[in-house]
Amino acid sequence: MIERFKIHFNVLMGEAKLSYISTKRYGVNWLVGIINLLLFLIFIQLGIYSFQTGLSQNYINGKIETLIIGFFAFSIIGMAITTISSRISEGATTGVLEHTMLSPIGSTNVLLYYAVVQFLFAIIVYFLLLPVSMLICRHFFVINIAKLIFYTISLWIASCSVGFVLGALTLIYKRTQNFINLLQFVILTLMILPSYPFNYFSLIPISPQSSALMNSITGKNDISLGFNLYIYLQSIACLYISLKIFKEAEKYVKIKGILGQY
Amino acid sequence: MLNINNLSKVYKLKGKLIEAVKKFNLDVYPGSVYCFLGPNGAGKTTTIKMLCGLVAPATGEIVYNSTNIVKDNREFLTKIGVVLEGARNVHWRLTPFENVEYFRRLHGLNRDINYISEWINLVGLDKYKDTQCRFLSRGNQQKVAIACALSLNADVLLLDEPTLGLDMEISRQMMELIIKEKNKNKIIIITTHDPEFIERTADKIIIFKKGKVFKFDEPNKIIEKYGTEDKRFSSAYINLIRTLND
Ligand SMILES: Nc1ncnc2c1ncn2[C@@H]1O[C@H](COP(=O)(O)OP(=O)(O)OP(=O)(O)O)[C@@H](O)[C@H]1O
Ligand SMILES: [Mg+2]
Repeated sequence: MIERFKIHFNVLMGEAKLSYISTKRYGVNWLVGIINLLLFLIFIQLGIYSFQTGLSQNYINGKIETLIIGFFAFSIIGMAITTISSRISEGATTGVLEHTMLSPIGSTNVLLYYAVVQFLFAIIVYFLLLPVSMLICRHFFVINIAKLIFYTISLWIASCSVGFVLGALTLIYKRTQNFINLLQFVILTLMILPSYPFNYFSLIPISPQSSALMNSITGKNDISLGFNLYIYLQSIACLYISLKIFKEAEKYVKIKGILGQY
Repeated sequence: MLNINNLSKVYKLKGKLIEAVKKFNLDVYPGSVYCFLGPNGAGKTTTIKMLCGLVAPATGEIVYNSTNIVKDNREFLTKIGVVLEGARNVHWRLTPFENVEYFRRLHGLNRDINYISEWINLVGLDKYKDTQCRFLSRGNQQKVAIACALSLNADVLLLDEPTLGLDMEISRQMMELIIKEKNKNKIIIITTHDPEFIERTADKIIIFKKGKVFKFDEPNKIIEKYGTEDKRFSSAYINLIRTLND
């Protein structure tokens, strides 16, 4: 028992160190990404302010809050659904993909740990970005951090499940990585779908989690206990299924003998 | 001991079947170095990958400690150190030291600075220990791969052309390292095309020819039986492989 715990702990530490080193050495990429996002925010809010005549300040503030939280949720989803597949294609080029599959705890666990580490890194950065974006939009509002974390985690789990399915595809087709950027439109659609309160749209992964987050933080609605429970159960179920899909893809590439051999 | 029973692999490529490895049996005992030899494309790498679970066999089983590792290799994976063919063993963006550390972690082992440094020195990389691997020469990257695999202190070593690209001095040191590992009673399987390496380290020769497997004892016996006047293993091997029908 303690032995197994030690093994898992060491793998987690390995992934943490790897993420830390990559971030440190390739920090510039991150910085560029963040600056892009901030620029995007500035332009959008300039756009909103240009409508100002005739609209109440309250209405505009509401829009800006939606904008900032939406931007936050979008970043989390984007990060989570690309993590696994970029790890796979990076592993294939940097040369450690096969060895990831040789870890005694299983590749899915290693990748899951990697995703967790990436999530923690991202959360820290995005939490710091929240006040910065408020500053840019010149509108400050109080966010219930506990709620934000609660909904962000379920949103992350749901997004991760999509990430594992894309990762499974990346194992088989290298090109997957190229069209993943196009998924930004899909993410937006999922975020816009009115999946709260519960309806058919709520069955789609990511959508109810994102709706709950937006409604709770910007709409200041209290989400019902049932719906809270639902978004967690659904995201965990999705993650479970996506891990199964990933394992099947791994089996397939082992039969074809194309693991890491694009 | 590692029992290989009826192991085979058939690849499907664009509708065509490729018999990469034909059914064979082999018992691999600890404390001996098993060298896989054979022409290019004969199925050596495929076999190594089947042993470590990166390629699923078409038929057969591999038994280690009375578990069929084709079915369940979680326990087995804690026991192996692997060098794969080609540049598939180091993380380009990490330094040699970080690589050894990362690979140890990946296998659930702790970061032991002194132990890692020892391995870095042992393969002669102390000068480069802080240089990212993508800036190292091919041979130096190979040394990192060897350090990563051996630093796991595994009971089973599966090494696919480990000495490829190493300079003569390090290649010689590698042979000594392998013999040291062998004396620790480990299971060692190595594929190589290097005759000197075979002459110095091999206890059992396993020849692959077009997917078919032939088993022999130590190189000296092969030299005795098939050798020419020059008493070189390479000459004997060339004679021998001509007599094997596929
Ligand atoms: N993923 C694959 N799909 C189809 N055929 C493959 C695949 N991988 C290998 N093969 C074929 O299987 C056969 C055995 O290949 P393998 O890599 O095992 O040879 P090898 O003995 O390691 O050769 P070398 O000495 O060149 O390393 C070859 O004919 C090769 O073309
Ligand atoms: Mg080979």
